[in-house]
Amino acid sequence: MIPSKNNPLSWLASLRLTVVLLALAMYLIFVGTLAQVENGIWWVVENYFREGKYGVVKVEFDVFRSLLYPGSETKWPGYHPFPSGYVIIGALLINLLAAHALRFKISGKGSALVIGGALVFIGTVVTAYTVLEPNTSAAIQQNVMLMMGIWAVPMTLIGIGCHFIFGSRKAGIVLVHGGLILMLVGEYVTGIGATEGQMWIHEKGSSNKIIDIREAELAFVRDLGDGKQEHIVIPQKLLASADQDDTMITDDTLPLKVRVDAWMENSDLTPSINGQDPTQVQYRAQELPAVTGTEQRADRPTVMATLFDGDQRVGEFLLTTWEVVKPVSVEVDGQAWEVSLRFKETHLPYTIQLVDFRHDKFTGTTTPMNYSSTLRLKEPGSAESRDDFIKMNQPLRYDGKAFFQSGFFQQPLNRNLGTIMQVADNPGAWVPYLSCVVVTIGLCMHFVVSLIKYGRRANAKA
Amino acid sequence: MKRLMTILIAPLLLMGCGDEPTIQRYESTLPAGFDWPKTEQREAAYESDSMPWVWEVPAGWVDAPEVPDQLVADYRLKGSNESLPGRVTVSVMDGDAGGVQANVLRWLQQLYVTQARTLGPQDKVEQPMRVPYGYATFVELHGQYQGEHNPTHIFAAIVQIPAEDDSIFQTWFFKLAGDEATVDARENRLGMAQMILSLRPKGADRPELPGIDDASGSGDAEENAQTP
Repeated sequence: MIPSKNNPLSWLASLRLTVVLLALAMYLIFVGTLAQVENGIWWVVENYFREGKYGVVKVEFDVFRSLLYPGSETKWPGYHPFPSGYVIIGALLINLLAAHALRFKISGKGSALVIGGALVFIGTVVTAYTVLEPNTSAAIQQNVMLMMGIWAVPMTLIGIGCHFIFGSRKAGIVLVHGGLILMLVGEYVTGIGATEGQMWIHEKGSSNKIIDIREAELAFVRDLGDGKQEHIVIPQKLLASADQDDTMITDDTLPLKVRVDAWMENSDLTPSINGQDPTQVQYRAQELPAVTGTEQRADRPTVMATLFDGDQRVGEFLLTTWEVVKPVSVEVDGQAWEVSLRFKETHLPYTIQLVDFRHDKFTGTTTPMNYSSTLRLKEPGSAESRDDFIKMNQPLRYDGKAFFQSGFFQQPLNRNLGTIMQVADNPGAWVPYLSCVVVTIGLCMHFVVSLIKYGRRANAKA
Repeated sequence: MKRLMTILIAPLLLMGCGDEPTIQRYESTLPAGFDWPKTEQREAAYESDSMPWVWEVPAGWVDAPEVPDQLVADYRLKGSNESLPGRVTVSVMDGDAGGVQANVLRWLQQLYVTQARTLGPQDKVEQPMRVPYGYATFVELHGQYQGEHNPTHIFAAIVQIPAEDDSIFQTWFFKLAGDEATVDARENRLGMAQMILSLRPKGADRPELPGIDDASGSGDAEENAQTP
């Protein structure tokens, strides 16, 4: 059935709109790739694709400089507004759903419809169980191929169900579109729920802290006793905006008011000997340009802040993510607080210990062959612990997180070795795999149906 | 459930809701203590053509998996801070190895961010002390804070073994590096003393270790224990 032009869905379901949206997406990916050269992948992901405030991003003309005039140092002024990646994906999603509402009609009737509906329901429930039930999900996600193989069974059931509901001609297309919708939704899930950070542990040391070196925070920390600590943190964005707007940061939860005198997104420190006490080193901070996408290092933010207890000035402090500067100790209402600028921390309820770290090299060379860590995981209040072995491409999966072996460090003075793990928590990690299975089964169904139809036609002609 | 909720709230993004940063308050639990490997007291040896030596390694010290070429032994001991185990290294050189002062300055440079040329008020270089087979100069150095993963303190002994003609035959370096609490811990100082006082040529009788041999006995022994 050809949809009427008067139907309000017809414009939303238009194929022309699909093409325009795909063209917009291609342009955004293109300029995003160019912007990545100067700004790094995470900046581009946040500012081009996931910027959700008004759904509009600023594409600076300067991104074309590296393409059109490579080597030119002069920054190009100006920008043009453009819909963000999320807005384009959302529009594509609506376009696809509208097309289904308009063009894909249920053709099955009576018992065929009941059987089809039942098969789709069973397939959906089984798939949802594998995804949402933590133990099954964790077991399956240990092995991607196994996971996709298992999903193929309920997806085939759904495919057969679609055959009964939509008819043989459209069942495969419905599945393919379903897979695409799933993939689009998956990006939202990742955008909202995914977190990533690093865990650094010395050999024979332990940690329950994930650090995100892409973002800093001003932290007030105090001991509560019984091995507990209280953290009150001011995110980097608030510090930067307080510096820009010249406003004082106040909050009922904060033990002290914070006036940001200078915020440096990236900085370097110059040491000098303290004139009054030559054994002490003091530091002066200089602002540096933020690191670009081509650089391997991270920004080292520094903040010059004045702390106030009510109206009383406590002091002016240099707080920095450079480790050489100790946290500042202050006392407020009889409580001892440590104030520091640190990389954003996430504290886990369990502890991971590094029992052993191995750095294997190819025989007779210093070329690394493999990094591996033996880890011990301890739950709070439990005497039990479990040992795990991780190496490159063989992560530890626990509590919905994946702990990947990403590198190692060695302290220069005492040469203690340590492991660096990339910790990823992405509730949408499974979505692309599942959507691939759905699309594959949909394409297979469509191909088989077309082949049978072609065969019948050929036989009829013969 | 988290995944389901995320899927349900995801379309809200389309409505243009941004994530405004806010001040957050939360509580955390300190990491559980590491199950430090239980090792027994043992003897270690340095096999050399000129003269093989042995010494005692205290209980609880763990051998490092790889010993750098310039060292003859490398141990880890439990630190006061979960992020930083202590490290004890042993090295030996023929002759005076540049003397005490040059080595102290070298260690100071390792500890300080800026190049240090003089000792700080808390740093100590003790007068040489008689040990069974030579003279030990005990050194305590305090460094600049360099973060929770980095040692700030060194307690070391430079043991000079005299030759028959009163020249220096060999110089041994025993160095404990870690944070302040680890380096100052009484049990770690006792361990260093045990290692240094038990250093002897292979085959020689084990010398008595005053304050150490009796430390594991009665409670009085602990009071009598003399650490450098």
